[in-house]
Amino acid sequence: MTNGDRSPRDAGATPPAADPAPNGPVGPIGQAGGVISPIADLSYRHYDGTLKTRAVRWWIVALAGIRQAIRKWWFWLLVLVSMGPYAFMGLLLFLQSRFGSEFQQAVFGAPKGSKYATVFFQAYDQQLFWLMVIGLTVGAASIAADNRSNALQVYLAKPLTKTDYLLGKWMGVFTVVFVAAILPAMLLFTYCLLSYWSEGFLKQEPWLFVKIVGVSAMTAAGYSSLFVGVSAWCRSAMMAGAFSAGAYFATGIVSGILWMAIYFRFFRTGDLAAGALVQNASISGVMKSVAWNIYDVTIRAPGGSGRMFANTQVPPPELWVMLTAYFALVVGGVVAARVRIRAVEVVSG
Amino acid sequence: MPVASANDLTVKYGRKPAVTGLTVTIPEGSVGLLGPNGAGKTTLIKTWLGFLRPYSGSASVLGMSVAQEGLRIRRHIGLMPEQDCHIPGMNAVSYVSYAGELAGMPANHAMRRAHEVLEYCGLGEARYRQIETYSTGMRQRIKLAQALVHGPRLLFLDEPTNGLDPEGRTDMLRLVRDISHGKDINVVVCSHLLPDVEDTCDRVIVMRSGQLVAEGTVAALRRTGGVQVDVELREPSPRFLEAIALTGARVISVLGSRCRLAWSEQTTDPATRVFEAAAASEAQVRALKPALRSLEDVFMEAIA
Repeated sequence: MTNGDRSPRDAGATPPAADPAPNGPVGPIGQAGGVISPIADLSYRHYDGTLKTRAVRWWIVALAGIRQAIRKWWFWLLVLVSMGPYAFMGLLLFLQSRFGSEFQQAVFGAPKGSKYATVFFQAYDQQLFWLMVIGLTVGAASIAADNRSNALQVYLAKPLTKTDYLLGKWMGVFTVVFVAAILPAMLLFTYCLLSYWSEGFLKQEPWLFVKIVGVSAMTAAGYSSLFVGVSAWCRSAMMAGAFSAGAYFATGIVSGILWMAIYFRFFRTGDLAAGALVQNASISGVMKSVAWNIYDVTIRAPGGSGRMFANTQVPPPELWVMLTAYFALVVGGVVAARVRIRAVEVVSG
Repeated sequence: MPVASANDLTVKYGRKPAVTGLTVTIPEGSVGLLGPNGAGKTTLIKTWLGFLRPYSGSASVLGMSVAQEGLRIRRHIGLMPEQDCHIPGMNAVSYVSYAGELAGMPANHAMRRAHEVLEYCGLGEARYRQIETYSTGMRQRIKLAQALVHGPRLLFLDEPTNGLDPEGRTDMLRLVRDISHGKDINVVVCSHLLPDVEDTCDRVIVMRSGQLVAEGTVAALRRTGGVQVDVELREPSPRFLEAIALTGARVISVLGSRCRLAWSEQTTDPATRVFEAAAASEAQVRALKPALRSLEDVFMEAIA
């Protein structure tokens, strides 16, 4: 063992005890005869220290999940990649400040007054996939790995309820995805705050900070519920990952095909908003739609008025429909996990 | 005070009863829970832990009701499960420390205690290794360490020597015996390996088909009925057996130069009779001691 093998959490721990005297009598150091005694008591001693209440026990579970995630180098790579869209938008904002409003109209195509919200929404839209990948790497293994290694017996033999356990696992995934979502957004927000204060950034978007926090939390909650729910029903992280990714892509593909099928109808009438519900009838689409409503922006879409390359301003899909779908996803995932978490596999019959 | 008890307890898996109307009291000390596969031992432990809900009856641990005070109970007990169980991606010291934190220990206490317990369980040198790389024996020890870390008052050990080689088994039994004697920890050892229970426990509870069939101290259960002695001669001697039969003894078993002899309850001087028979048959007595049944005999008798 080298010092490098030691966990950082070991700081302050008792140093490893020395080997007991190999032979001969054991007595106090320094006695005549040169007897050796161990520097620590190696026998069992009863623990009589404090035992905390269970109020924050779920956080210990969450913290363990977070620690496991951040220990992997590829996790940080994914976080870095997921910051890309915000970095790109920051670059565009910078170029716009250099080249004027024509650039803004060409790039963002947003009505004046909602420029920043549009920037943040477009960055979020691009980031959503990477947040899914981050959530998947953390969430797929969260309960499935415990199922595989029978760790649930260890957890539930401690003063921990199933709800504590589930909340801890859920919060572990939520925290990681939330931080990955909000960190680049906050960096861009800070850049905007410092660079466009004089252009009335805060006056234009007084609620932008709250919206960013809300969207990040909404996304993290959606993904963590989905992945924890699927993970609870699987006995291996790989299987949970495959099911989760499968559901994510399958709903995306189906909604995409459906939207393509009806696209030309809306293309002729120019009523692209009507097709937005179908287009977003997927896991990512639901979250994107809720975020779209939170940012309250219209985006450009090709088509409308019978011209392929014309741009139509598309408003967000109906909020109540998308919120219903979103809550179904969150509640469904949590309930599915809660039902499945058991210390003992009970085969009834 | 009993450390655990069940009162007319019935536990079912669906419609299939695993424990039926069981009334049992586990006293302080080390107790062995014996029974063939499917006897309901593990079900009983899982009920005490609150993993399974009783169909009827009641159960309590350390004076607390399983139905109402499950969380309080689990603060004071430790479980070493039968199956291999660990939290993936952790080394031993992180795992045991984590188990301590889950039990409510402050993080710094849990870490210090994890080092101590791992040292005690013989994993001091391997404490920074990933548990996935551990041998079966080491995995058994880490299961024990995580159960001990928070200083439980009652420890449930479910098949503690499962999958161990003879040397590992001896070490584990030594550890269990050490924990259960003079450490202020009550231990319930659940096993179907009778020598393990005999080595580590003072009392035994035998179950069969979800019911209690025998209980008592190991010494009391091993005691034979009537007056029985085991005699070891220098060499096999048919003449000795003939001579002892004349004193009213019944020869129960003969194995080489050893034999087990029984007299009626009223006999008061079996030793004198043995020596008289030996003198008459010119046999040499090497050993003479009161006969004890093996725990296996007790077990087989109980479950028959």
